[in-house]
Amino acid sequence: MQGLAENTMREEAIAWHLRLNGSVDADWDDFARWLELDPRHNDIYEAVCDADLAFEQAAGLTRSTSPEAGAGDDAFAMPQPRPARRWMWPAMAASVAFAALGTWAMMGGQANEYTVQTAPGETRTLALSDGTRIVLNGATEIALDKSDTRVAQLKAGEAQFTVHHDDARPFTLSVGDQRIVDVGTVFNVRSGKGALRLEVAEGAVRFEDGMTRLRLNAGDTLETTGSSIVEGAKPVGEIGGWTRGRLVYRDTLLVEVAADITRTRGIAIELGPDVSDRRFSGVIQLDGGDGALQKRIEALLGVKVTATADGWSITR
Amino acid sequence: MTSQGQEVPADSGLRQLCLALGPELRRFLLARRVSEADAEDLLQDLFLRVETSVTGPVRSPKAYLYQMLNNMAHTRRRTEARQKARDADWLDAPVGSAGTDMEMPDLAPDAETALLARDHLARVEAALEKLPERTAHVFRQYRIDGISQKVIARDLGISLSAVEKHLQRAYNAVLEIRNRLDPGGTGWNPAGQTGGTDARAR
Repeated sequence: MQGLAENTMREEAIAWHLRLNGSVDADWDDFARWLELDPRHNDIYEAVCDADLAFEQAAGLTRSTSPEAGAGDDAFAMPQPRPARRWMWPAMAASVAFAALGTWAMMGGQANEYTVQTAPGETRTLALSDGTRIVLNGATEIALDKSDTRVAQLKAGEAQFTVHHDDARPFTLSVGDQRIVDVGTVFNVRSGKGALRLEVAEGAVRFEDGMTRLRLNAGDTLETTGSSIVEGAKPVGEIGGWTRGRLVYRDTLLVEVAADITRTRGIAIELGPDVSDRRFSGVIQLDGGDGALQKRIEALLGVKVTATADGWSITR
Repeated sequence: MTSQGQEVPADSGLRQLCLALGPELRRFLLARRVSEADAEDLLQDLFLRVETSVTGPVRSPKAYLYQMLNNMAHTRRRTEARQKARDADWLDAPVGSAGTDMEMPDLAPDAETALLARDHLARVEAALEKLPERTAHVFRQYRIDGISQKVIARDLGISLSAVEKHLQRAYNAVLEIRNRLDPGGTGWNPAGQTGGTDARAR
């Protein structure tokens, strides 16, 4: 069906595709020379790009399906997207496309704001055209603006922001009437029930509400409830652990731990009165199926986890 | 991301580099088999995009420009192919409906494309099963979880070129499927995010 030469060309095209999208120091001059060697090279390279792009939709399917997708298969044990593909082809293609759309939307006067929502247990990564990445935890809602990628509004839930910093146009996240302005940053924000928790993993942010302006550096945390603001600290390695498939706690009420599991895994949890005031310190790995997680939590927290019709019941 | 490598301030540096690299970029586009007129057009477009949409310092600016231009060339070709194929009704899918499967929030797959994607995925999974476990694992890590080749190499304790070999093999198998499903790999394409957006932008 395919000639030997064609097979070789295809292998070369794949190699180029992998090299060009995998690293920042790919040799584009060499690539141009390879293309010039044979007019067919470009066609085959294009076909490889097409095929890879076509796979994106299927790949997205496995990313957003339940953690049981492909059960019994190690590699699928934790199909959560990881925020590590800044230079890869799909992300790049997406951001270029997004930029084009943004420009058009500005001229066409379309409604530019749109919201993205995740269900409990669903994690999702958004790539903005300026290189900013937002990883949404489950049960999260965020509003973005197509014509201005430098603003976002967290309406509910939790998200981690890896902001492409620009001195002239700082990235601003609003949560209610509070604002978080990046000063070159990776940060994690959780909002719910009138409370806000902000943790800075890298760089710095400025926190603003009507009264207060605070600068938070890497490792700083801030918690607001009503009018009170409490500053704290947290090892940067523990911040946004959920994006890496684990939850890290220090002396945390089980109520909060349960809420995190519900958000990240989509499992409704009912806490017995005899455990609700207990506290936990440690790391919970989130990989594996619900059954595995159930056993792990029993062992780690020293509790009894019973699967019920609509979730878990945790008792002593 | 703002802390590594050499960075160039976006507003002036990238634009200057864009101009300085003009002849080189033009040659690259011709090698990509873009017509001379289209190459001019794309370079203009690149310059404009650098001006309007790049808002932060860019690490490795030359690679950034090339990558952007390479994607634009690909998009343009796809858009043209699609125009010829004239099958645009999926472009009218309402924005934001049921868009849980994709990273891009504003391009929602409809039920049919989701079905096609599921079918595609099943075939890819079947192909991966025939490969050595490690090869399939590397592919999934790279292509689905979005982990960089460098990190995969480090995690598995193998060389970067070994990772590349695994990927090469997996891609070979996976692209084969695509070719069988849709010979030539051009024209209408359910996952045509890039082309779709551009087509919509007109």
